[in-house]
Amino acid sequence: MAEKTHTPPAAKQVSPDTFMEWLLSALLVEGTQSLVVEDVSVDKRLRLAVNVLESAALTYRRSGQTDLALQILDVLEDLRPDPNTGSMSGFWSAMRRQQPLRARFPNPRYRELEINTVPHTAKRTALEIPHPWDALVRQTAEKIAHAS
Amino acid sequence: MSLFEFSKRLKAWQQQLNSIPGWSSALNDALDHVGFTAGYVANVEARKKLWANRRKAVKDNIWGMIEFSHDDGEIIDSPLMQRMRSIRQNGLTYLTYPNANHTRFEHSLGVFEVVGRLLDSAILTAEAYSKEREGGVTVNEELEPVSYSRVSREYRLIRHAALLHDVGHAPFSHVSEKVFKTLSAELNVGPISVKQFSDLFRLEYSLPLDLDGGKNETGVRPKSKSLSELLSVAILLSDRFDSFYKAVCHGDSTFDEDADIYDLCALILGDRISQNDFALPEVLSGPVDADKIDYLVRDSRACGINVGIDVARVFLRAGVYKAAPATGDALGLGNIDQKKPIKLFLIDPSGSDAVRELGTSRLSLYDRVYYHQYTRKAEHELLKVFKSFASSTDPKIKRFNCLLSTWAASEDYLLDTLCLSTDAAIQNGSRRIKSRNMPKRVAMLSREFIVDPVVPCKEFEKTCEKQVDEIIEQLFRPSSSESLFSDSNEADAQASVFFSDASKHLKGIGGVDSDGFLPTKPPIGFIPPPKQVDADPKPALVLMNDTVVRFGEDESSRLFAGAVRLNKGIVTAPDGARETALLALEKSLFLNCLDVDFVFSNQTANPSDPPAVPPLEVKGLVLPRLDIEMMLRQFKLNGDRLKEYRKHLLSEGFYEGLQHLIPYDDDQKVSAITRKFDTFQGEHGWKIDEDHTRRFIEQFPVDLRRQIAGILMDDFYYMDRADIIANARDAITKIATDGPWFASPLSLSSGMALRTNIRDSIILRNVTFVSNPAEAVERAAAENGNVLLFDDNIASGTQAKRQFSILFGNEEAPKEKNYFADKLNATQIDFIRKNGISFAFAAAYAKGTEELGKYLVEQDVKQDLIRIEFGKALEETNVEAKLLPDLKTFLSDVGKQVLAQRFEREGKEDPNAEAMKHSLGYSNLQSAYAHSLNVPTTTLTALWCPGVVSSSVRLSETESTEISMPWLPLLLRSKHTKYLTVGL
Repeated sequence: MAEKTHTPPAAKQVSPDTFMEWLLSALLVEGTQSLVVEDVSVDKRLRLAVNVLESAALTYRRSGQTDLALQILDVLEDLRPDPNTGSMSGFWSAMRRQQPLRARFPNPRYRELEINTVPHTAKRTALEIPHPWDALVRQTAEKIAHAS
Repeated sequence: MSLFEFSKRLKAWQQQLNSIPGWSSALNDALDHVGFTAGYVANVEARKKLWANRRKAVKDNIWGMIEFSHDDGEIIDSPLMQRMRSIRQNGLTYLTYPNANHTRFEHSLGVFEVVGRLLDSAILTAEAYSKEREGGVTVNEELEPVSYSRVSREYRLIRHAALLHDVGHAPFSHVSEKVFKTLSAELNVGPISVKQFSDLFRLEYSLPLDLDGGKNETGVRPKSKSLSELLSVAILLSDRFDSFYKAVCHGDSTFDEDADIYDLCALILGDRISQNDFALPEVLSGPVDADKIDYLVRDSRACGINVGIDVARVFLRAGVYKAAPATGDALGLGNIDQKKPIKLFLIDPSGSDAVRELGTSRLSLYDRVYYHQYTRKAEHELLKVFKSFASSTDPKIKRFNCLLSTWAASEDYLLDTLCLSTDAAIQNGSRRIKSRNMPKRVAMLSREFIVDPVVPCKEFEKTCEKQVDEIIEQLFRPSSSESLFSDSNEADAQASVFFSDASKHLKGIGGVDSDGFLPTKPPIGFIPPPKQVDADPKPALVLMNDTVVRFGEDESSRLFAGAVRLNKGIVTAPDGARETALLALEKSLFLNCLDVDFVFSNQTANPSDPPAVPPLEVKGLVLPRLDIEMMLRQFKLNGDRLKEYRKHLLSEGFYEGLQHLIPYDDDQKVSAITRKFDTFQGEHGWKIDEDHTRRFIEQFPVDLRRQIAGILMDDFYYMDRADIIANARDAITKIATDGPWFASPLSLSSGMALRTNIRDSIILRNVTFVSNPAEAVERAAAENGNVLLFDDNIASGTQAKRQFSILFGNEEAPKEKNYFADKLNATQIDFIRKNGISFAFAAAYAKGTEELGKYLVEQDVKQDLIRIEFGKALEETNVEAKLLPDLKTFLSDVGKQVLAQRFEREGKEDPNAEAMKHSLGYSNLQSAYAHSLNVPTTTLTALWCPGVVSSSVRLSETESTEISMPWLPLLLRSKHTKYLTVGL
């Protein structure tokens, strides 16, 4: 991913695509370079990662910070598993939107996501994530990177 | 009956809405407006008696006879449903496909029928299973087909949900939805803003109640909802609908007055109504659902597009299955009662082809119908009209600021009202829609229509292109903060300003008069690509080899979906003004992306793959240039007219400071210059090709291009490898006549490179080539020989003097510089002083040789023992006399700017003053000379030094701005890659 020298997106509005961009950088920083698509254990970790966001949204709502809760919900709408089939297709779809520059799903089976970001750029991107998203992205990446 | 989670949340939301002062009355007003009055509701029971439990049927052009009960009939005949006769299913698609006039009413009836058929199929599957088991056939005991009886509550609720699922759609559904969402803070739903309405729902409905501290997955996750779904549910949660539905279901033993409305709404939203039943909502809104089946078949039929969906097979092969909770756990379904079986909606394996057909058909329709460029243009026009609601002063229009008022209007009434508006923008836009007079395409904004950047360093080419691709993708992606289509970006507004500016100048030569021709401003429309194609394909649950698996669409479908999405960002202008618009767009795009800067390096993405060369970061600046030739071909614009306009606008100052946008079209000259410098090999794989030569020349003002091309072609003295060897040989053979000679390069980079070239080409018995000056002196002293130092050229002599200063121990060699660090010992220095030293250069300035000689004399080397020979006199490469004043000024200005940046980075005290001294080559020697390995500093600075150049750009007749653009030199002096900025 290209490193822009101007101000990163402000904390006030974060799109699901921006979140995914941050998440990919954070995953690389955590040492994860690839993820298997629709793998049971990966999907389980993704659900735990979704839980982190849901839990944060809930906390913000309870503490009266509804704007933040709603922003997290914006991200969650793309990333949540389908409630009736359990499919994480929303998450993978959001990841596919990061192609070809930050992510790729190489031939022949397209069943593995490879993070395509340059490591030093990923580090810098991860450092530039505004508060409070920095902690959320880090915790989400930790859940995905490390099996519980 | 107790309510399940989602229904509970809906009840809470209903209570919140009802507590808002004015909410109920506003909603009732809207319901009154469509005829769903309190009086109408009060008469339902009386009307039901007239029906006398008769069944009815209606003929549908897709599904044939659709039969329904008297209760269903009450809903179908209600004003809520009848209103949908005036809401077209596909909005403005009828402007593209004239038969696409079918309405949400027909679609709702169709979904009602398809839901029935899917559930009937489940009944047949369950019956067949029972018979097989009773007959002793081995069946799958773990996945047992079950069904909802035709008289069950679930059967009724899901069929009614099918009828009512679209009641919340406002006229021109997707366009109005987009407007009300985009302007959610300004527009209203009754007494509250759309944002408040939506946020209230999301906070109440979309958040889990508890998550076990985030450790385990226990949350109940709802699907994401559209505004029309929210309005549908809000209407159904009204007291009036509650009374209506009670009357409709009166006498139905399955009716539950405390739960039915909420469950009906949950099903419309695609969510469960009981904890372990995951099947029922999927029938209406899943990967293979009744809604999709109906709209795909109906839309394709209406548009005359044949898509191959074997619907009968879907019906036959779909079923509801009972499974152990463990199956749900394995699928990752949340919040299951582990004591009871779960219900899943599954497709039989033989129905998997039909699943794929649905997916392919859907994408095909997106490409050809829903995202058809004409429809999108019309929708964009309507979007602009709708967006004017918020600021309109026309009282007839102001009321449409409220979603409920808009919802209550029919499409035709709304459009007619807009056409009669006193607000000119609203009137003109809506009249254009009414008369199908849309602007035409000018350009398509996707990566393939953007010219590739020129990256002369081949080692960086791939990584740079990758990052430029990324930036451009961000520019075109609607959701990106950098997007050209974002509200904060002024690309479209500026394109319109440039359009007006250009139009004024083009009036005289037959161009379009923007004031007279165009009914509204701005004339240029930026239509962003869709964010995603229906959230991309979602996998269905398929029963494969007695196991439940997710069956998604294949990768080709996904790629197709991506392509459909990415190629839909378009720019439009009225016919006759398209060429002007394209020129305005080109300028706007170029200027609006100037601030997108980045760095790229030769590092690869994979950390385990070490870089082939030491890591180096280079600056980049994105300046997207449209591929005008491709645009002309693709959109059938008039190329001759465009050329004529461009020429005229150039003379009028439209391109002031932006000469880069005027193509240099002397292909022969470009080709000849490229051939001349073909053998140049700079650092990091710097090679010159035709694109590079062209871009280099295009940086010059148009009237200076012929001159600079002439200088490069005719006056520039370029030595290729053979010339260097020949010149160096001439110089060496003049010196090395008698006795043994020990020859060493004088400088570390170019001298060493020259040594590599000449040591095999110059065969002289008495000359031994060694690797550094210290070794040459040592060998000469030991073997009673002579010292010969050689180099490619000597210009001012500064570098040579410094090398001797290091050799003589007067200073240390600077780090990372082009100097040999070894020092001579006292004996070796004494040897030089006694025996002298000789130099051979392939090319030299007399001044440089004099300076070197003078320095050596100062170091006590006798004048007569110093001998300097060279092949080519560089005084002959001076082009001062050839440089006309304007070109000289331009070259000097560029040279000063790029050199000052370099000096600044090097920490020089007064970089600007220092740069001024060397702006036309060091000491302003104005040479035009290089050889295949390097460029001397005395050559015109702008030809070899990279950097960034500022210039003044005209925005309008009265306004201009200062911009910085990368300066791409033709050649690159060694050690200068780090000063490179890539962009053009």
